[in-house]
Amino acid sequence: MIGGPHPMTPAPYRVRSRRPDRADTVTLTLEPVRGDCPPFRPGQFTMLYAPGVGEIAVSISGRARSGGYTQTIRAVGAVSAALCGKRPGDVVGVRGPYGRGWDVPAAAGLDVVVVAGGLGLAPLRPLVRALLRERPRHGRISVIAGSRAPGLLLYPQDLARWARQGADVRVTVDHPGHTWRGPVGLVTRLLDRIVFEPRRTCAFVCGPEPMMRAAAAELVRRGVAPGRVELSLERNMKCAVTRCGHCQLGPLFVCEDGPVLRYDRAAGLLEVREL
Amino acid sequence: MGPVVRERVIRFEEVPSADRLAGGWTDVQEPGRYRLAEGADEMIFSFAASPDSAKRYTQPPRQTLFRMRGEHVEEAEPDAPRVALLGVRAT
Ligand SMILES: Cc1cc2nc3c(=O)[nH]c(=O)nc-3n(C[C@H](O)[C@H](O)[C@H](O)COP(=O)(O)OP(=O)(O)OC[C@H]3O[C@@H](n4cnc5c(N)ncnc54)[C@H](O)[C@@H]3O)c2cc1C
Repeated sequence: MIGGPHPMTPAPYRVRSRRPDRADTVTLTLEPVRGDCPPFRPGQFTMLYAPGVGEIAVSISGRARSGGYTQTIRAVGAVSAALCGKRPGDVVGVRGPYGRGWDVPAAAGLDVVVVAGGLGLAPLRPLVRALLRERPRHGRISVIAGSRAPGLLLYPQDLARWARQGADVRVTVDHPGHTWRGPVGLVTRLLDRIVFEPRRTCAFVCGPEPMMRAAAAELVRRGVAPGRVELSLERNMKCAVTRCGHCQLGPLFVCEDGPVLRYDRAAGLLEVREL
Repeated sequence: MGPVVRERVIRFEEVPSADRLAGGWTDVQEPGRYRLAEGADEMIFSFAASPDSAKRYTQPPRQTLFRMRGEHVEEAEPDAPRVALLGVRAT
């Protein structure tokens, strides 16, 4: 076809490995059947197609050593459950990467606060890795991760490695159980425990929307500039290429103008309820 | 495609021959009400918007984009038959 493949046509990718993270969540490593994985920026997503079932947006949570994408999927419905059930050797469809990712260069010379709720850690993982690869370029790097319960925490090995690499990593849970000795409650409470210079800080936040609103508002209350707080929004998407309008949020198409938006731009729009 | 009377409604659908066009018919529409009526003359296009729309042909609601079998992805040829649309109403 003239001008290359249609923008809605996926490329075949093979599942190279599958790692269960939690009862309902798996991380797949995906490699193109032909050619190389296109480069991606932290915070971008792909459209993953489970053949015969459907297509959903999933963040890229890293690049595997083999060059493929790692993507972490939680089974919440038909398509995500079908993708979670894929085994090494199976083939899925991939379009993308799409969207505007985290503004990593803007963090140079600043303290960095990363706030993740649940699966929100997935799109933040490549960001934290990028920041730590260039550790001397940044001030203090703090990572706050919230989880429903200790056993549901995502990427525990990464969190431990980031702490060894010089990040201040804090974890809080909603339901501590009997063995948890760490903090309990909202991620916003942990902002008291970490050290950052608000006027020289940028923040990257991803998680359930009420948590992002609360975290961003609290960071701004402490003096972080709203333009230096970035959030990653999840809106239902169909086409991911600004044709269908499913993800429209006020004047923005989340698939192209987002999913990462600066808080000064997103704050007013977050009040608009999803239709 | 054009206006054709079927089941006492002026539909916008395939016209088998010119004498099947809705000549002499009109419709009376009000909120929540639709009635076919005899027109005053042999006008063919004397009707308001039908339950069908030309948009079905200009922007088909369903279109096969590709087929995927194993690692083979095949793009579907756009299914775009040549059609003439007669009496398209602006709504
Ligand atoms: C930019 C972007 C990045 C995303 N990144 C990821 C990712 O990295 N990993 C991932 O697992 N998902 C991610 N999602 C969410 C994912 O796209 C949805 O979970 C998916 O569309 C659900 O489709 P489904 O057919 O499986 O379920 P559906 O049948 O569409 O939904 C089943 C049920 O689950 C509910 N549901 C749908 N989405 C969610 C959700 N996100 N959380 C809780 N309940 C939900 C629905 O309301 C419905 O009740 C991302 C979404 C966007 C827009």
